[in-house]
Amino acid sequence: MCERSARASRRPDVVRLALIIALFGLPVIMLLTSSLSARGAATLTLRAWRYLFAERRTFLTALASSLGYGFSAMVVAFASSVLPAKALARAHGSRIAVVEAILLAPALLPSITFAIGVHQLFIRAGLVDTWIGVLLVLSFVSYPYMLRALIASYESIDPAYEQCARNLGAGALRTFVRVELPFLLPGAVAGGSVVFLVAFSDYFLVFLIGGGIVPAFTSYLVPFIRSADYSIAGALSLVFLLVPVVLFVLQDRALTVLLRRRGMAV
Amino acid sequence: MNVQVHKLTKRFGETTVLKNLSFTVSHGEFISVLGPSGVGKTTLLRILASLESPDSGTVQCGSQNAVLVFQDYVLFPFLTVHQNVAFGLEARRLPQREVGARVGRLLSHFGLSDKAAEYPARLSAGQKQRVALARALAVEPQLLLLDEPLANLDKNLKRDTALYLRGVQREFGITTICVTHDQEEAMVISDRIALLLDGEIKQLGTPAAVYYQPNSVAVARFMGPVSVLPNALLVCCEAPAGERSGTCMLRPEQVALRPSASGALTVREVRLLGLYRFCILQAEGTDYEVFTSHPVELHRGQRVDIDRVRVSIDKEAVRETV
Repeated sequence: MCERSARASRRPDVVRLALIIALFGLPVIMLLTSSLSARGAATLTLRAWRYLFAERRTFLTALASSLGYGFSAMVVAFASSVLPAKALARAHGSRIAVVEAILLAPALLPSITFAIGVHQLFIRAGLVDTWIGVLLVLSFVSYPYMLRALIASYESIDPAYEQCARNLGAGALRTFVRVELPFLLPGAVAGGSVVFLVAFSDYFLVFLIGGGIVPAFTSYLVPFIRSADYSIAGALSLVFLLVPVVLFVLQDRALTVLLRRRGMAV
Repeated sequence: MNVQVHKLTKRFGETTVLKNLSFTVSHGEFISVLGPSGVGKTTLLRILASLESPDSGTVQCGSQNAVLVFQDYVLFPFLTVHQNVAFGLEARRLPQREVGARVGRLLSHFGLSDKAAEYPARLSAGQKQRVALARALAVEPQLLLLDEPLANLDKNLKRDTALYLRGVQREFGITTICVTHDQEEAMVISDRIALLLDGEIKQLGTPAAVYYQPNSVAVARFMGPVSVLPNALLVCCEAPAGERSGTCMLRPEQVALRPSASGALTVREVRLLGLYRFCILQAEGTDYEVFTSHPVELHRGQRVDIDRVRVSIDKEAVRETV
C-alpha cells in the first residue's frame, strides 16, 4: 500500500521530467541532428561545423559584436535605471504609478512602432549604421526589464541601511557602492540577464539601426535560415543557445558563492 | 559639551508627535527617554541624529557629531565585522593604518577580535549589538543615541546587557540618549529618565525621583504598579491633618494590608502577579485598586486596613534635576 502510494507520488515527477525533455531537450536534439545532416541527403556529416571553423573569423566577429552590445546594454540599462528605480521604490501615490508606467513603456510598445521613430531620430543624430547606435537602441528597448528588477530590489532594502551609512558620515557614492549595490546585485543580475537576452537575440532593431554594417550574430544566422541551409543554421543556433546558458550558469554560481560566503540564504 | 533641546516640535500631517520639548543633557550623562510605543521617541532620536528635521525648535550638540545605534543594529550584511566597524572611519578618509589600529582596539575591547572576518548573519544578537556599538564609537561621536538597545535581547540577558552598556558609556565618557518603552530598562541604565507621554516630557528626573515622586498619576502608572488612595483610608498616614483629605500614590512596597475585623475596607478580589499582589478593595461603596508586595493571607470578603510603609530613599537619588 505504502509502496504503491510512493510510486504514485513519483509519477508527477516523471511527467514533469518528460515535459522538460520534450520542451527543451527535443529542440536541442533536432538542432544537433540538423547540424550533422547533409543538405537533401539522409547521411551524417560535419559539413556545417567545418564551415563554421573555416569561416570562424566572420562568425566570431559577429558573435563578439553581439556579446559586446549585449553586455554593454546591461551596463547602460543598469546605469540609467538605478536612480529612477530608487526614486520609484521610495515614493508612493498614484502619480508615481503613472511615472512608472511611462518609464516601463518601451517594453510594452510594439518594437516596429518604436523602431520607426527611433530610426528617424538616429538618422538626424548620425547614429545609424554605428555600433553605438545599435547599443543605444537596444539599451532603450530593454532597460524597463532592468528598471522593474531594480525597483523590486530597492523595495526590499530597508531605508535604515542608507540612513545608518549617512549617519556614520558616508556620502551618496560610498553609501551606494558599499551598502546598496550588494543588495541590488541579485536583482541587477536577473534584470541584466533579460536585457542581455533581448539585446543579444534581437534581429530587427539591429538590422534597422546597424544597417547590416554592424556585425551581429543574428544577422549572420538569418541568411542561412532564409536559404534553407538548416545544417549551418542548426549549428549556429546551438552556439546561439550555448552562450546564454553558459553565462547564466556562471552568474548563478558566482551569486551563490558570494551570498553563501556572507552567510546569507541562497 | 552639553546637548540642548529647545522647544522642539514635530508634526506628521495633522498629528503633533512632539510638542515643544525642551531639556538639557550634561556632558557624559546617560539619559533615557521613556514612553509607550508610538509616542514619538524614535522621531526625537532621529531628529537628534539629523535624520529628520523638526518643524520648529533647535538641537545644539556641539559639532553635530551624533551617531545613532538603530534598534535592529542595521549592520551592513555584505561587510565583515571589521569592515562594519571601519565604515565610519573610512567615510572620514582616515589613513588605512589608523583605521586598522582603531578598529583593532575596539574589536579587542568588545571581545570581537576573533569575529573580525565574520559576516553579521553569523553573529548572535549580543555580538551584533557589540559590533553596532563598536561601529558607532569608532567615529568618536559627541553624542551617542541608542534606539531601544535591549529590545532584541532575551529577558535574562537584558539586565546584564544594560549594565554592560552603562559600563561602556562610563568608560568612553560619552553623552548618551537612549529611548525605550521599558521602565525597568530605563531605571537600570540611566542617570535620568525623561518620561514622554502625549508628545510632552511629563517628568525628567533621576530614576528614584520619577518612580517614588511622580508628578502625576499618568507618570506614576507608567513607571509601574501604583495604588492611588485617599489619605483618609491610610491608617499610618503621616500626612498632616490638612492633607488627609487628598490622595496619595503608593508603590506595592509602600502598601501593607492588615486583616482586622473592624477594617475600613473589604477585599473583593485578590490576584498574585509575581512580586506583588493586585487587590480590589471596597470602602463605602467605592472600589480601590491596590498593589501590595507585603505577604499576608487574604481572601474575598475579608476586612482589612491599609498601612502605609515608609520606604527609605536616598535624598541624593531623588534630587531635582529638571
